[in-house]
Amino acid sequence: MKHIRWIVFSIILVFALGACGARGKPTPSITDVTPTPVIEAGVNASAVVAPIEYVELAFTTVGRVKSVEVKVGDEVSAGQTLVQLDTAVLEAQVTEAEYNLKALETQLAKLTRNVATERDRDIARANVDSAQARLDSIKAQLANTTLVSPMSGTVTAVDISTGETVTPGRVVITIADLSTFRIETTDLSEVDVPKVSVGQTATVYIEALDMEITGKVIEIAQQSQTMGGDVVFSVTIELDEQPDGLRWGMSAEVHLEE
Amino acid sequence: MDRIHWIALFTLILAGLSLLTQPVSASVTQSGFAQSGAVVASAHVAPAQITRLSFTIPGRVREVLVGKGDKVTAGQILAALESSELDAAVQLATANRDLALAQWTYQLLPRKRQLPEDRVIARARLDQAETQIKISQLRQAETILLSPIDATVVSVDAKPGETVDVAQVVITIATLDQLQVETKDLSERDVTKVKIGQNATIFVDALNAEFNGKVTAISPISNTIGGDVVYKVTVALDEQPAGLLWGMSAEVTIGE
Repeated sequence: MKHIRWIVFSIILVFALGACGARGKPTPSITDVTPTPVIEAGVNASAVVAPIEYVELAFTTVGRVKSVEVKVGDEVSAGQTLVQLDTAVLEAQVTEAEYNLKALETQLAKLTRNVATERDRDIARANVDSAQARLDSIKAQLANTTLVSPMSGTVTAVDISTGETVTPGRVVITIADLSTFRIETTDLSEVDVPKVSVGQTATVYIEALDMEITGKVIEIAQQSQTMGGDVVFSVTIELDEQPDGLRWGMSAEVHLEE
Repeated sequence: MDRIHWIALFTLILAGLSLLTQPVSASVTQSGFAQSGAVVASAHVAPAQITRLSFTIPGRVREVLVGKGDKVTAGQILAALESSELDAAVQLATANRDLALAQWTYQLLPRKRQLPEDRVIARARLDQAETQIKISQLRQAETILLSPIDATVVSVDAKPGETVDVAQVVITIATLDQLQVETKDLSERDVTKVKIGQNATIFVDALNAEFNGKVTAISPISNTIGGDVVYKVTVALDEQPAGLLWGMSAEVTIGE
């Protein structure tokens, strides 16, 4: 049954491509096309399996990696430490700033008790505020030496190891929520996109699992992409069920009924 | 009657268990895969760990103490930058500490009109100066590149006299005594049959020999090779065969 259905879909796809006026690739199945013109409603597109959410994490500072706490495939929770940089210099700077603050606070206390002009006390007060700000600033930098996961999920990439140097913005860890996958079309053309609407029912065939799953269109890209000279729009489909064995990047075929 | 019931129940459990022992082959035939459960893929030999080392500060290379092929141990010095400025900073911090120490000693002397705050301030300044020495020494240590692990030097990309930037890779080390096998073309269809911990056999073309191993990782992200969606599967070798080298081709058979 499934096979027959998909043969029909592929026939429609071939017709759709022909209708687009695209320079039809020499598909071997063209010869199999029956002469009856199929004007059946619906849109077909190739697609990929993608996680509902993923983040690429980087440090905001330069530093040497002291430890990498996770490896690819690990489950992590929000707030969990992933990578720790060496903090020896910053910790010493915190101590130094604390002594400095103590000296200046004592100076202010002395002037408050002592015979001093209001101006002297203002200066001492400003010095204390400045020292406090410097301490806070170093403590904030110290917090930036720990990379924590902003979400629960699975570690999907680790591009750093102990002893290496990180620079601001260099992606070191990727975390993805692999509990829920969606389907994103890769070649749905501008001709087909007007026939697609949010909420529309979709049938998704996952090649690797040889399985058909139903779903719904939840998003249509507002901006086009180009693929091999064609203007395409990414359409996102939410699956009604999450089959076992589904992986990020797997190929899928999508059929949208009118 | 009771006894018959128990026998019937026992038989049912046995039947159930015998079904459970062969679910793999059952599910494979169910999903319509004609071939056996085994997955075959091309692979190559790679180190378990590759570390690309660089400095956290810019500078001019003073010396490189290791060469390609050298075995290094964790904590070993690999290279150093010129550090005259940072050496001077340590000397300055030391001089400042001596001054702070003198002032603190002065506060300890019995005097008229002694304010308790002056003593607290002098002590804090002395402690601060001591910490500044420590900071300058830590900064000085940033001119020295240490090996974080036991490994072999596989690449040296800087010479004495050259300038290096922050995070510019200077030395690459790898664990050449811990080689593993990584698949290159294991397809999305086959990945569904691979599980972590599964046994694998690895045929290494260059050595014309077969080795045993276990699946240790399956990439959660796909790659594409010539239009095919593939997943990298990592197989650890049960033992490290003599003569095995990084980059050698292998054929991996996972499962039956």
